[in-house]
Amino acid sequence: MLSRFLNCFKTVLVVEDDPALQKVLTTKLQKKGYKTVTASSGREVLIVVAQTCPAGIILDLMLPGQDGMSILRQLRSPEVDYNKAVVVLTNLRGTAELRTEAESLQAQYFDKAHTPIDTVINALARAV
Amino acid sequence: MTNEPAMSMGLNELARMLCLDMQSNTEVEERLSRMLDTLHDQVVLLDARGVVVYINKATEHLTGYNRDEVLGSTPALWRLSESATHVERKLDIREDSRAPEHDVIRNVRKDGTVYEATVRSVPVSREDGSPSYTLLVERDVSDAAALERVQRRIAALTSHNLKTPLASMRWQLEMLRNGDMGHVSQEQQESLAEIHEGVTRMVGMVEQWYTVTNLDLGLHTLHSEKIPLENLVAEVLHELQLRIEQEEVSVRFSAHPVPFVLEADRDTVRTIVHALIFNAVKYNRANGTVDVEVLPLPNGDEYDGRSFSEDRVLLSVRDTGQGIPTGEQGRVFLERFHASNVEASYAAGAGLDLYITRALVQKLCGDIWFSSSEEGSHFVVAFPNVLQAQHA
Repeated sequence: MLSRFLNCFKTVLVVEDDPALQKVLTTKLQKKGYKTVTASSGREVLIVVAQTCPAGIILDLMLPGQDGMSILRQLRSPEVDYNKAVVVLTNLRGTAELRTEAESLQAQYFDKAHTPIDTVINALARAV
Repeated sequence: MTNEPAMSMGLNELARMLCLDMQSNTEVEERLSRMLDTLHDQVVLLDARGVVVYINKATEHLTGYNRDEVLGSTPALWRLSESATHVERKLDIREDSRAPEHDVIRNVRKDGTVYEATVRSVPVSREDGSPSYTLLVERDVSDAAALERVQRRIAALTSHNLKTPLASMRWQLEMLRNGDMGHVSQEQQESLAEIHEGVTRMVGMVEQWYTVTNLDLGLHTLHSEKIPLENLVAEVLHELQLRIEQEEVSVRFSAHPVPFVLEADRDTVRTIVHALIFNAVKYNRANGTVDVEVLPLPNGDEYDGRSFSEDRVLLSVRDTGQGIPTGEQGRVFLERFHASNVEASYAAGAGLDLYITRALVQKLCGDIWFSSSEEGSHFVVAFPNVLQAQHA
């Protein structure tokens, strides 16, 4: 209960272009007491980050236009300097190099198809 | 700059070293040159300094440089990359899955257009063993590489697009079952569990389709990374926890005191581990057991009567299921195999698990074998490229 109360002051940005996945992630986060904002493209992400400075970001890798990994690089760049928790999600196979790069950018990496939603949310919660 | 004497000497000596039985050195050179000019592949002969002393007609055609422009230079003349040995990636264009893949490099023609090529480099030594020449054989694979890119993209996008709604459905089901949307009755829980199982199976089928497609088209590539094998096994067991409980099977995992690290493709190893444990759980008896073990097999030691000339780490998965009928054991690793004694008990899958498992083990240059009786089955995978292995 107390943690849910504390989470109310924390905003999480959900970057996901699939409406159903975006909805399930935001619903789960809200149940956990987080406030949520959403974005579905790279351009939106930088605008939202600048406006809200979220406590954490859930970031899909396959996005229209700019892909999630290049967004993550931008977030961690000196120009943007976003240093808070990022959880990267993907349904792509054969992504060992992406996982390695995500971890080198201090982001946690999960395969959507094989990871329970609680695992994703709990990983973000621990880092936020 | 021409280098006719060197070219002549190079081909002549090459022919002699190849032990062609000809009348004269001139005839040797002419016949060899005519033979090499019929090839579609670039053939380039370098001397001990790496300088070009011979090219065939295909080299002129593919690079756009004529003989006079190439002789006396080096292959850097038509290499696009800064490093002459830079490999863009591997291209799998061979039939034998154990053979090394071809390195793909990028060359640039005289007119500035780029093409992708595979390169084979063959050292040619003198009779005393001292290096003399290097034979380069390069093949324009631009069309094959472009086709491969299209095939990869289609397979990856299709797999991704099929799994996206499945991921959403799975997460929604998890939230319902966890009570995030309100109280769920026992009857509803059972129904949701069935739906969840169906969605999980569909995800598995999409991934099997993707893997088989890549294997059949020769697109399955490996990205090497250091993998703590015990951690991977534990991760798979965690993922299968719900299934293990549903099947009412007890799983015991014995990890070696000293953890092993493999240098291999993580997704490939994970698929192998998942398939073996999943099958051991699925095809078990009620209240049966599955014993999973990771253990070392040092160079020369024996396990199950097998030994290897390098250190290996073994994944052993033993179950107490009905076993595979003796007469069917020869077909276990074939496509669409279903053992006759379990087919009626379970919803039949595509029968691809062990076919894919063996193909992936072979891709890693590992070995897989099994034994089976009415008391159960025992599958073993011997992984190579062990970074840490301790004697038991």
